[in-house]
Amino acid sequence: MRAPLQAMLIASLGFTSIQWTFEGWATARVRLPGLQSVPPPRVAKAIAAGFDGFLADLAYIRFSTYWGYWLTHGRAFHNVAPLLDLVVTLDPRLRSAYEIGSVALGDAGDVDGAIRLLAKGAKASPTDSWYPFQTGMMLFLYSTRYAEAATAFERAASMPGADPAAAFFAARMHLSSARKDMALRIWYDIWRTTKSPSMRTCAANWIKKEGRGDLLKDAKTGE
Amino acid sequence: MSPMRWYHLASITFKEALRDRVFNLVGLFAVVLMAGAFLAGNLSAGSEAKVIRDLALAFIQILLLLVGILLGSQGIHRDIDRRTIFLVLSKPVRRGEYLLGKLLGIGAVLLALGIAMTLAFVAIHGLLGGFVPMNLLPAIPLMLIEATVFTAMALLFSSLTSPTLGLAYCLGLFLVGHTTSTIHTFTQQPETPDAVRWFGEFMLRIVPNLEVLDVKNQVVYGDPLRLQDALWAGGYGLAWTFLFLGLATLSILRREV
Repeated sequence: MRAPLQAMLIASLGFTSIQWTFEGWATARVRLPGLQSVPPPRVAKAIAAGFDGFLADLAYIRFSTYWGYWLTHGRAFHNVAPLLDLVVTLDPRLRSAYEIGSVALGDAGDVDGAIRLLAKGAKASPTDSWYPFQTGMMLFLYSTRYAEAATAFERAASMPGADPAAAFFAARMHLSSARKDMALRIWYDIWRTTKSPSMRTCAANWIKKEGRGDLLKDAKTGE
Repeated sequence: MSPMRWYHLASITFKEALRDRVFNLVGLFAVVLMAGAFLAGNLSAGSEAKVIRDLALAFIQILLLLVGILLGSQGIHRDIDRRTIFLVLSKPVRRGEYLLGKLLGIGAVLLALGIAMTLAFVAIHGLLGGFVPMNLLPAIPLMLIEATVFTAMALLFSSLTSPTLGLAYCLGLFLVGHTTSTIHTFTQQPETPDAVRWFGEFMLRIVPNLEVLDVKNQVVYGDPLRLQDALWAGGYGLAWTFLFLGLATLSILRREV
């Protein structure tokens, strides 16, 4: 009994060393970018057979390793968008894919891709104000489309449970896109309706800074 | 028809599964879950908890299905090979009772395995620093019912063909059963020819729609599962189980054993 066991052990060590040598030889010569293609999301969804969530996790892990690798090795991000599309098609509610994916796409210069990704998230979670907020942030940080950013922030601010900063960002984006009247309207609304003293002061400061301190006086007289 | 006979047949099947060391799979489950937790912690960037829950539920489902299908598809053939079936059927045991006993025994194995894996999941989740959300747990009884459907299906194929072919048919039906609603949606587009549309409708009606038993994606996100829906889904699964068992009984009645 002992002799076959020893023979198997020696044989497996032999095979391992051959495999090890071959891998070393092959990886030194064959240079592939790691990920050649991404399966079509609709096909993957159709054949997932109930394991959509689990497959989405695997695709998301593949995305994070792929993106992480190319972030430090030449920034060739051509498969980031297809991978993220696969992830969110398999699991449209995987929030971290939208959080990290939108930043990855924005950072890669694909702002429209980031907006499309977030639009899918907004479709899957229509009551979550984070998606329009993040759309506004993407447009603000990675492009100069401030009017579109303002619209996205306004949409976020109008939703229940929205980040209070959304309205401020909307006003600031209107100001950056030379729509001072719109910015003043939002700050005035914040000043009039907010229950937070610090936000009220901040809104009043912006109104005064834009030379319309009279609005605050009129409102007080009206009260 | 005697419940005591069913009990004896079921307990024999359960003991056979114990001898096959089926419960070693719980150890495998724990190892995979811990490896998955390690991987998730390092690579899943912000969705660690979700990855671990998905992995646990997917692995519980896969193991239950495989055990159900393997025990079901080998059950009758093994009894024929070992000639124990002659011993059983020479006694006043009907062939339907023999199959029902097998199903109940494998069902008990699946139940014990499901409970053991759930406990392992709860323990590992606790070690990683968090309680398993209670809303995840209703998914497991529905997985057990799905595995029971496949056990009955495997018993049917076991009475008709070889274990290997039976296994292949069951896996094929698993894929089809989980894609019928998708096939139906694809084939009901306005521009689809009538023949294809009819095929989609036909598929939906003759193949079990296993998607109704699959609530993994709902419970992982904490969506509430309505008791009424779960009961309907469970009843649907059990109806298919008894249909397959009835067909298996008809098939075995025609065999010369």
